[in-house]
Amino acid sequence: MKIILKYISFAALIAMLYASISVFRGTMPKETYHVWALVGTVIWFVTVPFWMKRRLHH
Amino acid sequence: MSTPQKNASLVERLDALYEYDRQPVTEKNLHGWKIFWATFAGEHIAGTEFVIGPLFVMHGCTATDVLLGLLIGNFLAVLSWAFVCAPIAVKTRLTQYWQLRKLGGPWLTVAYSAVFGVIMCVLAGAMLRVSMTSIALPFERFFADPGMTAGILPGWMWIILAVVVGSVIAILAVLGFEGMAIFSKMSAPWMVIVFFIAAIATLPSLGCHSLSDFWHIANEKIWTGQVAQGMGRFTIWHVIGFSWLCNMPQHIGMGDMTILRYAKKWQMGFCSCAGMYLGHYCAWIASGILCAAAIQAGIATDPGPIAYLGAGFTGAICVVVAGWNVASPTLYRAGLALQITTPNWSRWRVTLVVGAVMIVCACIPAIIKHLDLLVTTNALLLVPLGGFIFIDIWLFPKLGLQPNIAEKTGSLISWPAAVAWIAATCFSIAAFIYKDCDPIFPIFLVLPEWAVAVVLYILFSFIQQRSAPVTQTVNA
Repeated sequence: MKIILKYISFAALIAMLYASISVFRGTMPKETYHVWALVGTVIWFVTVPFWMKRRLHH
Repeated sequence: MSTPQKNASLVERLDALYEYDRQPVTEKNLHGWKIFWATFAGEHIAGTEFVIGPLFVMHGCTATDVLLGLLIGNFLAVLSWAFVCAPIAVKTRLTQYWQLRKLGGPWLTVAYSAVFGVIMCVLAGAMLRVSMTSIALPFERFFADPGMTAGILPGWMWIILAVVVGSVIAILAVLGFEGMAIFSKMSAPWMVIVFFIAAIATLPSLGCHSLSDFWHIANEKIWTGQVAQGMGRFTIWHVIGFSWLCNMPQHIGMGDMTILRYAKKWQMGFCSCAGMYLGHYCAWIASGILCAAAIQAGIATDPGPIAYLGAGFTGAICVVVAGWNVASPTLYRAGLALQITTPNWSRWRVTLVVGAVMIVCACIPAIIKHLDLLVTTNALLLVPLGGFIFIDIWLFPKLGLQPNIAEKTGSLISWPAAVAWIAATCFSIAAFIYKDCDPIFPIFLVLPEWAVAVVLYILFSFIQQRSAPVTQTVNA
């Protein structure tokens, strides 16, 4: 389960990057890119606590 | 569990956050590479990058000045962390405050800690202010004139924002190194992406539609070499100097002994390259691009508005998170520094007090406008003492001088360190006045001041130890 969530987290970041490159290439409107970026952000912060270590070893 | 027990438990839990400040870190508490990559990346990809990147645009840098100057300056900074700060942190496992106490005595440590703590509070206030420029964006609509989309927030609104946002930052800092590192670790990869996407998506608005356009647009539209009104001209030397010296209190000044004393190996000092090249290279370039686009669009060049321009709400959120990521460790350092000056106050109590000072500082708008001068002042005041630690550990044994002289003699203050510190600071002040108080000149004063301080410290230590040889050993 953790590994799936990890893939989802990084897929969200890649999607954000893809959206901005699409704006750069002129194939996506800036408003759509803003939505992609916000959705990617939400997915990142929802999924990352489940797989990233939350405690350090003292 | 009864209520009194619960209350006692809360205090005990907070006191348990005490992190071996006054003792060397033990083997079982050391951390591996991952946490240092994340800590450096998180700390140096911060809200201030949205301020400093535009600085190079405003100061009339050319594209070559910025792209090459930052490459060299950040390389020097990484070397300073890896070869100056990290080996000493790993060797002593102490904070710089306690190492300084050994060589300079408790009174010097108290003075240093007080100065350091106050500067850190002011810097944390600046970080908080940066976050607030983003949080203020939706509220600006309520104060807009008819027909306008945004207005100017009144002073009382900024105070409310400072209290609310500052309280969250203070709580994060109270949680200590662990809480700070977890927050930093979780948000760091996302922040890097946001800086990248904001810059990439903004380039078309500047006329850059392919990679081959970039160099032309960089020179013609971004780093044009035109100095903004009221700003001094930066050359490539200013860029190299600023990018190397802006974190000098942390590396050559030994401030990051606080963090790197947890490192298993001194080589972990190289993890600073994550912060330097992602934060102080890519992020500064990205925010420079955003600044140029904001100027072109007639938008304010504050962190919040330019981030919003680049990535919408995501950009605004990034400024808030990036501000927290640097404000929290800054407040943590302030707490550590000022704890030493209190009558055995616990960490959480000290951190809450410095958090209140940070909130007051964040209410002052000038604090962000003069960020570059604040950063330079920080370096000028603190770097000499880092030099003393370096010389005391590596050079004194080779010169036949006794290191940790204050600890060995049991003195309250070691005069060579105190006099050298004051004299070196006076040297910088005199040089600054001699150059007609040029606000961009102090960048070039930090290294000469370090050299003056170190030479005087060695000279005075010779005089001290030859005139009164160390015969008595007392634990300070």
